[in-house]
Amino acid sequence: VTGFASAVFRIALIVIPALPGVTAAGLDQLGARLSEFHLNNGLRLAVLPRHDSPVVSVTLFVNSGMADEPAGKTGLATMFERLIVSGPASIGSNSVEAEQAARRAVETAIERLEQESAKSPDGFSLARQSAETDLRFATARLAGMADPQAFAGIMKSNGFNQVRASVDADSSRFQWSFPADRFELWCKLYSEWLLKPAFRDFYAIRDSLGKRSIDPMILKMLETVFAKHPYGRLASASSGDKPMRAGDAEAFLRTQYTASNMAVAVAGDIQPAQVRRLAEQYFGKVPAGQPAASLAEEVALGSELRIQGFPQNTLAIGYLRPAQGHPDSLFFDVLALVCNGEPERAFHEALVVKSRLAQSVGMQASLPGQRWKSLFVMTAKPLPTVETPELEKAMLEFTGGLLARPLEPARLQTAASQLRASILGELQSNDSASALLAAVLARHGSASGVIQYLDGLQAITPAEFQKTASRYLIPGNRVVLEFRKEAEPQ
Amino acid sequence: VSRLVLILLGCAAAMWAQAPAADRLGLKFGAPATVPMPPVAAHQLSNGIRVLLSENGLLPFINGIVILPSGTVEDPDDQIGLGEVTLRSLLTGGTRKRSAEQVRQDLGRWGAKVEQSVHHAHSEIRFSCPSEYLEPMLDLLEELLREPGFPVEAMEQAQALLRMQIGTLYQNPESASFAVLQAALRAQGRVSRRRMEFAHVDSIQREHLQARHARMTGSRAMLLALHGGFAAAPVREGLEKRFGSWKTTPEVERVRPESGEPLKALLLANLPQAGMAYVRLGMPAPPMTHPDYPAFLLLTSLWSQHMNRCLKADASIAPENLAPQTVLNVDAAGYGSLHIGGAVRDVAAPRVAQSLISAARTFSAAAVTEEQLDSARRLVLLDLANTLNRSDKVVQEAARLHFHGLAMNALPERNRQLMGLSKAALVETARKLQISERISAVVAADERSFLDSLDGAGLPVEHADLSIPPPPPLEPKTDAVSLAEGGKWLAKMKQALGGEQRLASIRDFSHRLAGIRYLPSGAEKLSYLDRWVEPNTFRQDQQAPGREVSVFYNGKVGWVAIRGRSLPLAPALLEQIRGEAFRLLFRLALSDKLADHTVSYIGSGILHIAGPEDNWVRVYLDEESGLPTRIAYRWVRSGPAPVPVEETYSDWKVVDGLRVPGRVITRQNSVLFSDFEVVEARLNSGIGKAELEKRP
Repeated sequence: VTGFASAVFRIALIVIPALPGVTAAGLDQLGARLSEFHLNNGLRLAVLPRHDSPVVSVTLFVNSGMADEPAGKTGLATMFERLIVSGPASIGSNSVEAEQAARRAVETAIERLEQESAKSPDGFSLARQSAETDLRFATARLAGMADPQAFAGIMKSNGFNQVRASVDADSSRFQWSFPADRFELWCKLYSEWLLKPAFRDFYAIRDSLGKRSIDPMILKMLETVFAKHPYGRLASASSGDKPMRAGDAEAFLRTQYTASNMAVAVAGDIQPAQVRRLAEQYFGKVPAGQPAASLAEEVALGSELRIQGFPQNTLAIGYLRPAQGHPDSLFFDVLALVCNGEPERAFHEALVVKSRLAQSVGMQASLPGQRWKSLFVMTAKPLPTVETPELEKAMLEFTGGLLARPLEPARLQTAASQLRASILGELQSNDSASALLAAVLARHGSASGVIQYLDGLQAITPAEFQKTASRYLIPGNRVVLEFRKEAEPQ
Repeated sequence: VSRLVLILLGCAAAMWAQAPAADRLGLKFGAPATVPMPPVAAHQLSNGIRVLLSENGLLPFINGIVILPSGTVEDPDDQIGLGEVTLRSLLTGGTRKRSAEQVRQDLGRWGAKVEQSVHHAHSEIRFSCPSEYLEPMLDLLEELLREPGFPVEAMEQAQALLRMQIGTLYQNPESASFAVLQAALRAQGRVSRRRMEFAHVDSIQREHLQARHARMTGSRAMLLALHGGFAAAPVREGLEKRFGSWKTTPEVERVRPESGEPLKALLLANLPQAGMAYVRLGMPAPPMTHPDYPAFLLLTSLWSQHMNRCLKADASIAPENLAPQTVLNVDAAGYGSLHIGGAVRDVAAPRVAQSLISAARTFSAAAVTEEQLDSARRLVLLDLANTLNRSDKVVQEAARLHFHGLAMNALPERNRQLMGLSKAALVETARKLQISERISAVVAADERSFLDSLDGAGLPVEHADLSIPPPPPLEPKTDAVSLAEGGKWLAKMKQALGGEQRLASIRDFSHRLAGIRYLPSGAEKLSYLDRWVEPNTFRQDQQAPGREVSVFYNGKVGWVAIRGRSLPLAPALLEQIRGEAFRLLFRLALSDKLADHTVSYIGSGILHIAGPEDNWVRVYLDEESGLPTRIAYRWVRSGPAPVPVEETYSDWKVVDGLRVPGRVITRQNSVLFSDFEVVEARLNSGIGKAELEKRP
């Protein structure tokens, strides 16, 4: 998938529908071994015991990402990729209360410095210099109140791999791998982090945050289609931002990292009963939080826009697709492979090789995320000799071909088999299995959705594929955006 | 070619054993757990081929490995890379029953994956597929192993990959330091110190692949292991049916690893304009089958911790923020290596190198405390647990060790040994392996930027040889059969292009092409006009938006004109324009009439035509019609790696009785570079040399 691909949006291909169905032959053992349960506060957990090696992988999935950042606080969600590393407030601190007081003093000094800097943005002022000195003192005092390496030391000394953290448009994922007998330690440390985080490096992290870099074409697309939708906030981010405080991160943690908004999956050398007991003991204290409010999901489609001032001419056609969890989302996963999967790379073959209209093509199965309705996007960069209407016609003919007749069974089988093999491959290792199961659990309410999804892949038929295509790949569900390199001559 | 089995990032997990940190939190943990061995049933097919089957029904998915008794050690001295080219071509070239494309389609339809690797004394094919496709997957595997197609295209693709590897060997300080250190650590081994060169790769022919393939698959030493969701009994029968009837030769003698004695020196890999430095130190590691290997694993951990402690304590290198990485790179049967190193500012590289060498010299197994030893045991076991965290990986690892003569329970046995190793045994192993003595170090940087002179802290300082011998021109086959066949196929080509008489009557030729050139910055429109006048005057005029370039060549020298200014042709451009003139198709077809051309046949409808000034080209003829479908040659530009270029011809037209391609697609390094249509072509239109020579 190229074209609109952006490091900001890591789109997991696997999207699990809540399909009713019977466990397919071959998945019985997985179904029997996979356990799931929830705590009284709503935290959902899944366990896949596998005693191949005395290690486990744990994934904490939070149904919250950049689209959930409050207005004016761009980057707050992504800061958690690094904030999680400092652990709970109690670890390494000489006195939690004294450290809190010292941090308040730092914040007061920061506020004063920001005010003084605003008064004399370019020039020197005594008040500003004094504020800088105060801040240096306050920061030094705070630094002396705790051992910043204490938490990392505990993690290292207990064989934990460094946490793998990623925050995307609408989710945050954290993953650890460690010796199985350290699971209780993990529960203790991270349940405590959720209740009382240290956030010691908050200001250093905040000050090192770069400007969020999103492909301008993606921004334009989000702005056009999702103007009144949380995804639209990604397009308006950075405008009107106010300086963030550690309190903002605490408030974000309190409202987003709640038991009812998270899921945990554990894969490895561990028994479900043990996970349940320890989860209840440690994570039972995490506040339930408010369930996410239902969303109007207002989107603007059917439009065609010509926008100038981009580095390269590009034509993008987006189709609105359902959120992860909708039965039809499987169709879009298969569609992405039918269109541009190996070995045929049909979309590339049609536009780049055969008709010689595009120099490159791209495809993104779900932009910008999967929690709500999103876009299935196809892009093409025309050759310098090609006019956009000709390219647009060819792109629409390509999707039209999927509506006109049932797909060749072999082509559908190739796409479905590859997807199925890739999921089975992921389930083989602890880390990717825990990541997959946590996502499924958080978004669908049941980790066994993965089995239903695998069943669905085996059951999909050309007729059914065509029928679903005819519901989505239609003008009323489409947005066409043309990005032009230069202004048209008047 | 060797396998990376263990990566220790600094001393990240080095303190795992120090349970007190957890104790402070009121938690208690037991002894470290070891990696268990899943049940594996070992069988032997009726012809002696060994089979390991490990049923695991958790997922309907299979992982398999075929171990072939042939590794890099078998590559002839002048054909390093032959094993790699053979195995790659075997997997990508199709079989006698299925084309390469059909194999790709089948694998795609099953969701199957196949990959390969060539090691010191063995080669591997690893595959995976959903359980329901195991039968067709095994059928395909049997076909690939028994009847590979070995088409020239697959071989050439594999060769192109190796050429790229050679060309990028010293491209940055990190890769250069790695390559130099690996070579230094194997300096005393006759076979393992060898280095792949362009000439080696170029000399590989299809018949070499066939011979190597016969050795790879003909021995009963071959081993096949399967793990996953299957029923063992029918699979065993299926394997007997497919592989048991092969005629096999007795097991060949095992390849003995070489001594692995390193060059005890600090090597400078001088990379002008590098911009930063990479400093690396290492020692040889014994093979995984070596009796001392478990003790060496513990020593690796202890050594890594010692090195990190010393580097951290050295105030002179503190500003460098060195984040050293320890990498253990081992093979089941060949000597491997243990490295430590990191990126630093080039100005400080000599200080860091000195610090690394001093640290390595002070390591003493005798000084290790019981607490450190216990910590190392836990760390190594944890690393094994993380590396072998899936039972299919355990089965594959056990299969490798079993292939090289160890018992099936070698892995659990290693765990047991690790737990029981005493300090005295460790000290003895460190003494035998001379851990602090058998070291080499490398600094890869631009030496002009050093603030201090390079001092090896007792090791002699030497310059590493980073030269890569340029590829020699491909020599045509000169045996009588190849030359005679070359003449026959050339005659066929002449006939297809319009006949000898028509070709010989051409006094001047011109064609105008228009199309797209694909550059990293995007595609651009381009047109050009080629004009040729006998005997060998050539001119090309290029037009791109905002740019016009003309190049002229009179058979000896020439000029280039850009924006009204003309300059004599620089050597690289002269070579390029000579090549353009040499590769005009109608001229190539008359090669038998040109004294300085040699034509030979290399099989599968391919002609090798060599010309003056080391020019050569391979012409791929349609075996039925004799028309050239494509040509392949190399564009030697600055830098060590020549760029393989391929021009594909289609949409043939007839111009005054001469057939000319209507479309020319060019690929460089297998990547699409240009796509042109011939918009005009003329013969004998009366162009004169003076017209061509006229400067814009």
